[in-house]
Amino acid sequence: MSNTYMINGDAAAFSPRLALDKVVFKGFNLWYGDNHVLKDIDIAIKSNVVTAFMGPSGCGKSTLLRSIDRMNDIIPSCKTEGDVYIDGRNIYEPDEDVYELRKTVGMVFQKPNPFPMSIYDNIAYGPRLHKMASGEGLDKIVEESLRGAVLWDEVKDRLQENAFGLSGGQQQRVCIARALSINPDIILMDEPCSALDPIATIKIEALMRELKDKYTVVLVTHNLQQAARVSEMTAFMYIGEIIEFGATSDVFENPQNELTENYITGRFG
Amino acid sequence: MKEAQKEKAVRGLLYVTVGLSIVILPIIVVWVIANGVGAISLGFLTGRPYRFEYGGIFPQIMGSIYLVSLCTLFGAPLGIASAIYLSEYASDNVVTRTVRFFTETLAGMPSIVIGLFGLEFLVYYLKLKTSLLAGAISLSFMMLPWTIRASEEAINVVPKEYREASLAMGATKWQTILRVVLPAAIPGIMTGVLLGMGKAIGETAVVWLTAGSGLEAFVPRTLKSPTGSLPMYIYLIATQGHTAEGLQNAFGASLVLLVMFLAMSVSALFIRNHYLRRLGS
Amino acid sequence: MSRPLDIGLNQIKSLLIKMGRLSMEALELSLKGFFDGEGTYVQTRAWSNTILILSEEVEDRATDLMALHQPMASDLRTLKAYIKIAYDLERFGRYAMDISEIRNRIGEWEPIPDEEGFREMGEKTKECVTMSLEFIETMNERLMWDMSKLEAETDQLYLANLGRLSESEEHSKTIIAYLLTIRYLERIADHASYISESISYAVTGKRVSLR
Repeated sequence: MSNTYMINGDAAAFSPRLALDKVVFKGFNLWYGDNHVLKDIDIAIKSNVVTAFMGPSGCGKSTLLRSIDRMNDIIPSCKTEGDVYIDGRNIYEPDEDVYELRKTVGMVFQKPNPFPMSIYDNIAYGPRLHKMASGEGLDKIVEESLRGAVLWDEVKDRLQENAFGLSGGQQQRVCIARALSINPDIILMDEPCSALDPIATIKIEALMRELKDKYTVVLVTHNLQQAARVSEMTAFMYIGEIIEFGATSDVFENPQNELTENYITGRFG
Repeated sequence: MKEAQKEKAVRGLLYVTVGLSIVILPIIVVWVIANGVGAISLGFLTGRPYRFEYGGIFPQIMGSIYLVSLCTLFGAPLGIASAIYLSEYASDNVVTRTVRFFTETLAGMPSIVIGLFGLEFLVYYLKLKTSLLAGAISLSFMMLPWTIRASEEAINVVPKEYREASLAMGATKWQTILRVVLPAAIPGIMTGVLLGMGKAIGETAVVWLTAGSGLEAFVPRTLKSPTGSLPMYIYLIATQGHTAEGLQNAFGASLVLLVMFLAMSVSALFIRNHYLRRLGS
Repeated sequence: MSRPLDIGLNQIKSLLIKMGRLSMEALELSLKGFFDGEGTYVQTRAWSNTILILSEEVEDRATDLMALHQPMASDLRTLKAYIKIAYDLERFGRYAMDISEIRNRIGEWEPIPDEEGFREMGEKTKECVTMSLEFIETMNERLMWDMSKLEAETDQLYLANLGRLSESEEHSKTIIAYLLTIRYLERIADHASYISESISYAVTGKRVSLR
């Protein structure tokens, strides 16, 4: 665990509080039909930090995560109010190009979901889609993405094999590599280890800590230990609200809100 | 003890019924082969029919192939496009439910009614004459609901996780359908299309009314040419032939038709299994 | 509904209470021995050793709980406090043993005329220990104010006694014995206040210092 922390290339004493704001929610509300899923969210997610959202099922943590790349737009009954800024740009302006937005935000899902294609084609999917490169340029992107996901050495000799032939943990790293391939700033991870065994989980967790040097990582998890191990900042959510948000060590050792306390000590309900 | 005996009796009865349904297919196949194999010769497969029941069935074989191919050319894209619309774009409302109801009903429509419609609308009203084109279009009406249903099913079983992954990469809905959903669904769609083709190739009433008399001595040269087909040929020879040779030719043609049909069913099955294996891993 | 973790925490707590009672008895006995000249060393040493063994048991149980239950928030703070308190209690026992040993070492004994101030400090220290045990048992951090008052009073007595001893010109050996004893008592009172601080942190999450 490294104790130094990069801000704009300078090594500074580690403090997430000093990092720049990357994603800022301002008075953000979201409804599915009549169901008020997110309520007055005000939160600033720091750049190059792993931020974890935790909370009981149905608290809105995944929805909050998906608001960052507007994946909730897919659901027809979804309505929003308020603003979300990425690098100061409001992504909920009417003229925002969601397809461009999603290019800058990579997403990794709960269940490893590689496409039914070769490993190579999985990683090349995004770059081909956005015509970023072809031929050798594409090969390079594929290699770099797989290296970024610490998978290159395991698969470099079988790039043309179907991604389904890999283990669950490897498949999830294929998905991480696929998310990296379009060169995003932000990586969203929606319970990325919930379908994996402990060893694969540890690998992905180590990877998350590595990724934050280059990317802003936002993690949804219902595994408290995972949030504690991996993240620097933790938000606790309950019924659509952010109850507590702070440095992970504070939230887990000394939570300020009784709901947070009850949740993380397992005294809920 | 009594209940146990009853149980035994029910079991026995069920064995008998299952046995019956299992043996029907081999009986028919063996029956057709036994009676038809004598008719099969190079001359029969490549010759033309003459004097009603004599000669070969080459124009009928080609006619059936043309009709089914053309019908697939019309029916498959239309069916697949409708399926994409229904499963990806349409929301669940009165319109889609109505469309679904119509396709379901069309699937169960008696083929003679479709044939009659083809005759009135295509042959007379649109002046297509009894021809390859009119027959193929009418057949595609028959095939359409099967293709739609099979394609919709194949598209629906593509996991939503694939779509999400693609959309999250910045792909549009159409890009996602084209690059992820359809490639994953294509084996299922092909299975559906092949089964539809199997239905079309054996269809008699529709081609009788729209395609041709059945005994045409020439392979159709244009879309407007009358076109013979195997089912029509079999029907005519079997019902109106006078000689033993005629009857044998009917069985011979049936054998050819059966082989073509089985080829489609088996490849449909093969693709399906291959596809399931791939998804299952 | 009590969680599996609660069972473990309660087990540790009862170990601590047991240690606390033993250390209180050891302190009482050693003071009695000191003032009345009875030989109590063997008994207090036995108790002190028992306390030591119990404190190791606390440490093992606490480590198990951390490994198996990964406690967080107040659970984590409580466990942390328990580990620290086990050490404080162990010190109680050790200092009590040390007090009971002093007269054996000094040899000839000439009591100084007025012992009252020393006895008073002994009583105050016992009060401190009693109160620290109450902290462990009730986890009532509102006793904090009382504790700080007691601790301050003990400190004053310590300073007063120290002043008196430094002015005395006779009984040099006896003076050393009293000096050591008040020093040990002052240490015990300090550890009693540490216990209250640990409990207060476990309960509120805020650190307070009586020092």
